[in-house]
Amino acid sequence: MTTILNQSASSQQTDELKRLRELVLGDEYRDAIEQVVDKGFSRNVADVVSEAIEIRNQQDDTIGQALAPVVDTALKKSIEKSPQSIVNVIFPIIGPSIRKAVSSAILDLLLSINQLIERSVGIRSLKWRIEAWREGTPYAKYILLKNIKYRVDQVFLIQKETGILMASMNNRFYQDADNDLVSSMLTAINDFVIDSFNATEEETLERIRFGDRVIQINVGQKVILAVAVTGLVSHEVKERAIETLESIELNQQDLIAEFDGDTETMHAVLPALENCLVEKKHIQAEKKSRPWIAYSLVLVGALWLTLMGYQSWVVNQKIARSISFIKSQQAVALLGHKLESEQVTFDLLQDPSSGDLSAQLEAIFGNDYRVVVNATYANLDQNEVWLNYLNNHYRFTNKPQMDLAEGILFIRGEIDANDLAKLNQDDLVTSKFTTIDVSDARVVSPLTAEQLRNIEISKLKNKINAVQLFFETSKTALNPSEQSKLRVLAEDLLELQRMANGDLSILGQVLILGFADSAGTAQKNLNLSEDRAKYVSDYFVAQGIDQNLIVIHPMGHVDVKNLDAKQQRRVTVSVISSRSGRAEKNIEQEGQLDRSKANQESERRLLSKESEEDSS
Amino acid sequence: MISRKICMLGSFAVGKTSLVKRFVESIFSEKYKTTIGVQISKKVVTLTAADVQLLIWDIEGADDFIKMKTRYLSGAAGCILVVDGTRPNTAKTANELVELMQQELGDKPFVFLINKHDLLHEWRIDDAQLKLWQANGWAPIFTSAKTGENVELAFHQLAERTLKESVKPT
Repeated sequence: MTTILNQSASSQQTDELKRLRELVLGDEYRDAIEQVVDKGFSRNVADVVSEAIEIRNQQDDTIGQALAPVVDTALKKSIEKSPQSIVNVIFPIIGPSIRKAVSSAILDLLLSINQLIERSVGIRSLKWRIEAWREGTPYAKYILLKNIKYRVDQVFLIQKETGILMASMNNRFYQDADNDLVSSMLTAINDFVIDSFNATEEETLERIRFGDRVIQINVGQKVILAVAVTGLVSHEVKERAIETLESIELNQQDLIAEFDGDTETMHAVLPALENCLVEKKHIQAEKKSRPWIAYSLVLVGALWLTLMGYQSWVVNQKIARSISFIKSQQAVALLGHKLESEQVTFDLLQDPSSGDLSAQLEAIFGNDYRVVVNATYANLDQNEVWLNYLNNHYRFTNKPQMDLAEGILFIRGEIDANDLAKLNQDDLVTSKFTTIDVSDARVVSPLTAEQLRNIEISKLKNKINAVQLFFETSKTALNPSEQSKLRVLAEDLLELQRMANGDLSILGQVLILGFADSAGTAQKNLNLSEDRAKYVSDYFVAQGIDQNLIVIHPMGHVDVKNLDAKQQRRVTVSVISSRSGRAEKNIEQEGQLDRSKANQESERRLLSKESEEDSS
Repeated sequence: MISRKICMLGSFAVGKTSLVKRFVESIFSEKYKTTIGVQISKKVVTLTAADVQLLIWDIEGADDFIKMKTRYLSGAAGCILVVDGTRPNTAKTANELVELMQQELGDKPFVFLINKHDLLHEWRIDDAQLKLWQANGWAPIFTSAKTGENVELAFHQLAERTLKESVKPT
């Protein structure tokens, strides 16, 4: 009780003292007291605050939690108050990263443009243009889609400092890859590059390319995420790798911090790594359906072509019939015809005496085509009409002069042999003119020099072979008129010998056969015929014919009933050509030719030929 | 499996690559090929406590003119320091390399090998030098990549010691 009373008394004294101080010192007292207390407390706290925070932070993370909102607010206020100062502080940190990102993006863009340019020429680009047009896609977009083809084969999560592989994922193509070594080598290469180029810590190896494969390296705070890509490293691959790296660093901080070389502890990151194993193939056609529209178009086109072909064939048949009909008409010449879309035009030259052919021609064509007949009526007896027709119709190559008189067409100057042949086949011409006289004209052949030479040789041979030299009774010499024939014959033979120039295929032999009439004995006739042949032979040799070419043979009397006696007293000269002249010539040069045998063979052939002619 | 990065350190031509070849592939070649940059090999070592996958960074030899690229040491759990028993001056380089290693890695374990022990007639390491190393706690192991002497032992010893160390970045 006493104690309680004492305490009560003491409390009363304190209150009284307090009241007394307030009455004496007033508000100043309170301020003075507060100042003294506050200064002392702040000083005391300032002395220990750093240590206290450090100690508490080691115990738990409540300091960080408590300070986080304060720091946020302070930062916000500071930025609002002076943005530039924050920029000045942050820029040296993030500036290089921004520059790197921008330059990387520009490089990627340049690479893409380069690839696009490379692929914008050639057959494939043409094909893609057509496909883009068919799909209604802009070509630039289409080619970009076409070019994006990639496959992420391997993903590595590497401890940044040690280069030890923390976790990895491979696709089905790289199940046996040694990821530990690859991981270490990547780090070693990175170290090598940094050392070799005196690079800073911020500058890291970003990409390694070998052939079609690229290793894209993304460096984080504590770990490196590398992806091995086959094909083009697309924006999608890069974005996904960066997102995965950030996500792992954010969500798996503890795992990363605690990693002690044991990959078993990193299982939690595997799904994120697997997410990076993306693959993109070429865009396939949405559905392989049969191109029915194309088939239909082709079918319609084929039908149309068939129909057009049939129509063309029909109308050509009708035109052929019409031409045939026109040619069958007297005194009508077809100057030309023309087929237009639904009209056939015939240009005719007609004598006034001939009738109108329109009705017959219309009947041939029916209602399908309109038939127009442009008939030029002219009196075909008038020379100028004919000359005009011939010149316009034939357009002669050599412009010969033509005259008409009493059913004869005279041609002068040069005329091409082909033009002459056409004239001879022209129904209108042949119906009007009985003769085409070219005696004053020179027919020019469009043949080659060799052909012309062969024709000349052939003409000459025929001319020589056609000659027969007739003798008076019992005479072995020719009378003057026959002598002149012999002279011409010798000249022709000389000419042939010159043209042949030793070619046995042209002039192989000159066979002279002597004949006698039926008078006298057979032996006498044989002798007579031999002397006659010799007479001709001697003359030929005297004129320069090669004696080796000449073979004479007495025939005596050969009974040919339809020849009179004079015609039987004759000598014939035949030019014989060797079919294998060169071979014969060679054998002859070697002196191995049995001439008598050859002569006998030649004679045998000739005799059988003459006998055939005689019997006929 | 636990992985450990270890580095081969030493002067040039002391036999670092040969030791790695002997350990990893059990082969030895007399031909000398200088290492440029780094070669990385891998071998799993079975210890009583666990299997350890050693990623062996065989770094190019250093000397007075070619300084070692210390970046290759980054993150190593331990090193194998090699000197050539026939060339005492390689020991001088070894001292410098240990200093570099400690600067870069801190107090990480290393094993100290005196290699080419098969060339006894050319051996130039005397007892005084050996005692000096032992006094420094380097405990040299005589090895021969050619005969395989103590090679497995050396790598196993380092693997054991690295297992006790954390590879968490310092």
